[in-house]
Amino acid sequence: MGGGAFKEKGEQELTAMPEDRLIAYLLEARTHRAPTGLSVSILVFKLMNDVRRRVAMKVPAEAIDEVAETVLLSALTSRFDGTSAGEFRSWLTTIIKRRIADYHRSPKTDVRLVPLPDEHEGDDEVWGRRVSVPFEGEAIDVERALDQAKRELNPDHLEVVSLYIFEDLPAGEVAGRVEGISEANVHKIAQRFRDRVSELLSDRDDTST
Amino acid sequence: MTNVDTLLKEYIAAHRAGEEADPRDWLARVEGRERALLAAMIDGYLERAPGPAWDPDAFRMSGLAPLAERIDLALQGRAGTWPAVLPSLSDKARLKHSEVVARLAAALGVPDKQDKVGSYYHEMERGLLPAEGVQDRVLEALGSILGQRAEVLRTAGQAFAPGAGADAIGGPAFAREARPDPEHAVEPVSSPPASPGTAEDEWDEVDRLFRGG
Repeated sequence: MGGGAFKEKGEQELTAMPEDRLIAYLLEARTHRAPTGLSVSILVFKLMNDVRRRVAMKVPAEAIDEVAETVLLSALTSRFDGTSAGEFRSWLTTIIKRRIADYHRSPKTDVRLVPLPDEHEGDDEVWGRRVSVPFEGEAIDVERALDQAKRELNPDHLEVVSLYIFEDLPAGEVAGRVEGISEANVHKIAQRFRDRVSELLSDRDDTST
Repeated sequence: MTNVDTLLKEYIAAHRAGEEADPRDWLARVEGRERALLAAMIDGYLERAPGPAWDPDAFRMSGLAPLAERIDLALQGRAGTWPAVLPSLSDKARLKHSEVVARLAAALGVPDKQDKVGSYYHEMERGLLPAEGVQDRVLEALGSILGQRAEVLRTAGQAFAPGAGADAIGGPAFAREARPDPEHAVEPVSSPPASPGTAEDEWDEVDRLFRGG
């Protein structure tokens, strides 16, 4: 049976698991034909509202639920068919962007029926083609500028930007979490990041005119 | 501090406070590139934001249970996303389960075998019936009823993870937590002729349509 000992976990253990571990457990439980309903319910409960919020920024109100449901369905089932890659949150972001693009390519098609192609996480060329929806030009420019500015940061500085800008933690707390970074450095790194994003956006303006 | 920075901080505070935090309310306060930038920043925050702690009561009240069940059925079953897609398509077409079954049986030329068609369709919805056994004729008929092309339904029914899950251990796939409506309760099937309520010598046209490939 499936190889190796499998121990079914209870609600307390499942709710204490980080997402990636919970998904790994889900895969193992499925292999052993153990119940997976609770694991799926926990993941849906933890993820769905924020997926809806993220989708709501990019599709009309009447399509939010359909696209958001498709995102979760794709993200969770693709963990099982060998097409997923990377940490789950990063993977989820990839799926969200692709499913939004699927919707805009064919608004009348139920996105639940659009198969997810082989994944190319981090492959800019493939990625670029998939999200090239004309009306989204400004949004795409901004996302690309942010992605590039992030890629140019070293891991410590990226963590500073993530915590200070994207999680809005106080500079002192960020400094305490990232070794070798002072509070003053946090402000400088964040400002340099903002400046770089502005510069990249200006460059895009120049090349598009 | 820019307008975007201020709005992002406000948004994060609202989200952390457990408010509805619909990003569109914040995006409506800026335009053009600032709007796109704020959307990307909010998205960056939400990508990392921890979800709510598990609360069974809140889950029950959230209306998310049917979605979780559909995803679970898809994961446990052997028919790809059919458990999620088929009920959704019939909802969209404003057709009750019984209406889909009646039309399907009629379209297949077996109006007198609605019960058996209903059992098989129920298995499709629960992810219990391997898609590869379902004949094109069934999917073409179903597609015309639900407003989809047969090949699209075929693709949606492709099982996940070849070699994984129940397939990996050699047994028939079945959703252990699935609790079929008693009205449609059927035994899970693996390969012909062990179809719902059908003995080997009773293998008929309906079995062939749904399980004969």
